[in-house]
Amino acid sequence: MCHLLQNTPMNNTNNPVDMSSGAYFTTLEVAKMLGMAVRSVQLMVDRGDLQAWKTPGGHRRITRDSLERWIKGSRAGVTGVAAMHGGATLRPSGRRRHSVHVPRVLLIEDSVHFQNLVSSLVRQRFEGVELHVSADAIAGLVSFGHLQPDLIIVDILLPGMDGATLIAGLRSHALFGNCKLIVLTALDAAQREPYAHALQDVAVVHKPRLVQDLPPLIEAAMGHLLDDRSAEASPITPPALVAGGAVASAPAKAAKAASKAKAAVATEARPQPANG
Amino acid sequence: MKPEPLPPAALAGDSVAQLPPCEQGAVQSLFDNDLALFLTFRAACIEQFEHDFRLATELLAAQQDRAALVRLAHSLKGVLHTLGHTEIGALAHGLQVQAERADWAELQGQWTALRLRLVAAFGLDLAA
Repeated sequence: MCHLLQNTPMNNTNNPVDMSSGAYFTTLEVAKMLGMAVRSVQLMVDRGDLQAWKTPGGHRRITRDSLERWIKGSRAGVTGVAAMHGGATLRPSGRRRHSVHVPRVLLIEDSVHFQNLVSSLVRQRFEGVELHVSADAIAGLVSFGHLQPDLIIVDILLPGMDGATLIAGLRSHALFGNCKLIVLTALDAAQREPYAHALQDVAVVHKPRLVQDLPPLIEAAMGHLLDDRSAEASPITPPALVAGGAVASAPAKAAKAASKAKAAVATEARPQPANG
Repeated sequence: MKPEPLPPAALAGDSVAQLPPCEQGAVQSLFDNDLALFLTFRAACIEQFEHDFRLATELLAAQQDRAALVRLAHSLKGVLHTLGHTEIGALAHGLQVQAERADWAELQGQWTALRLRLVAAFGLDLAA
């Protein structure tokens, strides 16, 4: 079963809104978002790099506006700053660790329509995958720090921050590690030109072809995790069979999809032609 | 060519033939003939259109947040193309482009035209 956790859907007041969508963040939230130590964030506040107020208990509450301004002004992304201030202490893998790893996808998409479509697809075709949704770039960065997903699916046009900045920030994030990235867009090739640098070596899905093109890319990005889960669920599976990977433990259709996805990645990763 | 509105009851039959031609094409070419997924998406879109209509009305009344109107039109463009309604999608694209610079009265006219096409294509019954 696919688990869907809606964080901040646009225009839909029926869904719960997480704290990361509010006007203020805690130092811990910002630290996770930027891949920095909490102390570094506290120093940024004290220096005036970030604006904040203090609770009666002395806890800093950082304004969302100042954080957005800081991220936009930091075109180099967040890793440089994290390194400059000592950064977060990571596990060697740079990934979260669980006794049983639940494959986790973070969708950063402001259109409720496409939130719905991706959710339906994941629910239908990727059993056991946990899908989280953030409706804007800042909430997405916060959720990324909290969740440490295995795969991020991100829209290019988002409120609060342009896609190129978000993607650069995500890819250079201290916690990014082996996280995979897929970009969704309704922009055609010419319209993507301003984002060409950020989209280099990134799988891009044109939204009208989402149903056809996204599942094989998810399969290619997370197939090994899904296979691992299959193996855990079937203790009598001979090790040699598990070692066979997607072909051995998944239906032939999935293997074909993964193969198709690799081709799609290669195709989409090329710089888009500037067709006028 | 304006597609015929699809009465809600027609969807119960789960038959591709009951869909307008442009949507039949989308089921075949964009949804890998997965009619159930298409109908699930279509139903969710119709539900969301109500929120979109309300947002557009608010944005056009306030006449301040062009970026939000661009994003709304952009979202609708993508959705309409995915559902096979490329002609209406072109209207949404026009609104998206114009929302960055046109005067608000002109944008109101463009939105009204787009809304009427949406209502007709999806058999919507919305007061907005």
